[in-house]
Amino acid sequence: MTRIIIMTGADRRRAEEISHLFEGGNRVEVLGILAEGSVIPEGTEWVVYDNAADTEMPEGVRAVRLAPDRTPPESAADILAAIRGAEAEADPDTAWARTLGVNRAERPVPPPVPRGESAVSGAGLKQGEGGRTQCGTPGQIQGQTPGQIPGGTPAGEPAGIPAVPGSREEPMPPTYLVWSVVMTVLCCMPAGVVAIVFSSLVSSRYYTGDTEGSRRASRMAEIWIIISFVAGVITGTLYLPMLLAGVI
Amino acid sequence: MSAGTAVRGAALGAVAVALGVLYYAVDPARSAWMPRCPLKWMTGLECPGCGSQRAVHALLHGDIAAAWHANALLVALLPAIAAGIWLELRRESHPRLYARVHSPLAIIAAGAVIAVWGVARNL
Repeated sequence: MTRIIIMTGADRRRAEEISHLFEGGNRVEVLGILAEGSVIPEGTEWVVYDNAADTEMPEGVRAVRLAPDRTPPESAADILAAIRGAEAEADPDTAWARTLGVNRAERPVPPPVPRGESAVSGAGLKQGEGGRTQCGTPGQIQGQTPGQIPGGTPAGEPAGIPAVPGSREEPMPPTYLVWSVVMTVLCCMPAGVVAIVFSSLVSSRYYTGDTEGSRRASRMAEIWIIISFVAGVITGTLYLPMLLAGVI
Repeated sequence: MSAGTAVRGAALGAVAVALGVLYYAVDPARSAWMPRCPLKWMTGLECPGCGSQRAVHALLHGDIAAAWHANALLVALLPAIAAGIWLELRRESHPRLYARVHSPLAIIAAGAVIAVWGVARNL
């Protein structure tokens, strides 16, 4: 039931005719006919203007202007169509819900998804990731049940590897922080610093629930550690030859 | 442990051992083969990693004082790095501990320590 107000100018007659069109219907309830400039009563969803000047709308109330050339409108359906058209423009979701016969306002809101959990298959993702990690492997994870974790799981530390996809919190992708720090201090500082920045992105994105972004940052951190290592090896190998050649 | 992980581990271990032997045998302070830090060479400023080669050489010879003198941060970080590697190897079995230790704050703190050290050693 859409609750409407008909706002009219000096001539009330046409507004009353419009109001009569909705009588007995079950889709539109006419709350009343108001003179232009009146205060819109609470509970109004739509204001239908009929030869009245625009009035400032309270929040949540929308307005539609009837074409002035039709006197009087042929049917309630015409007015309804005008309302629905404006509604679809303003709020496509609600318009669709109405078309589909769903009451959008009463639709139950699903509970917030807990951080870290994902509807995406946990095992599948980890399988893809396992090939890149230092200590995990696809085969190892796939065939694993919580009881078979190598080295066991201490009492205080709940196992985080999902036996059933999505049944547990998704583990944090590797941050490679240790390797980033080692590379920064031992090898090639500029690339190491970039790796640390990506390490921090892995963590911050993971904690804001952006697991996909976190995985991407993890991959970038790994790449920059490799770049750092390769740069260090190249520098180490070419240092003396380049020095002798007078390049540096 | 799968073949891939074993190969990776073996490769990393081999590289580590080779570098260890190299840095035990060669004193970076005296050898022309050992690269100098490009930043120090160009600007004269010491980066956070400057002195690491000498520090590793000294550590391999058991001279902690000399290592501390060459790069104090590296020596100070050794226990943390060891703990970090230990945890890294247990990432799969202890994901919650891993996530807690690798909090955004901890990573930013690690970056800040390195940055502060890089500035402070040049003052």
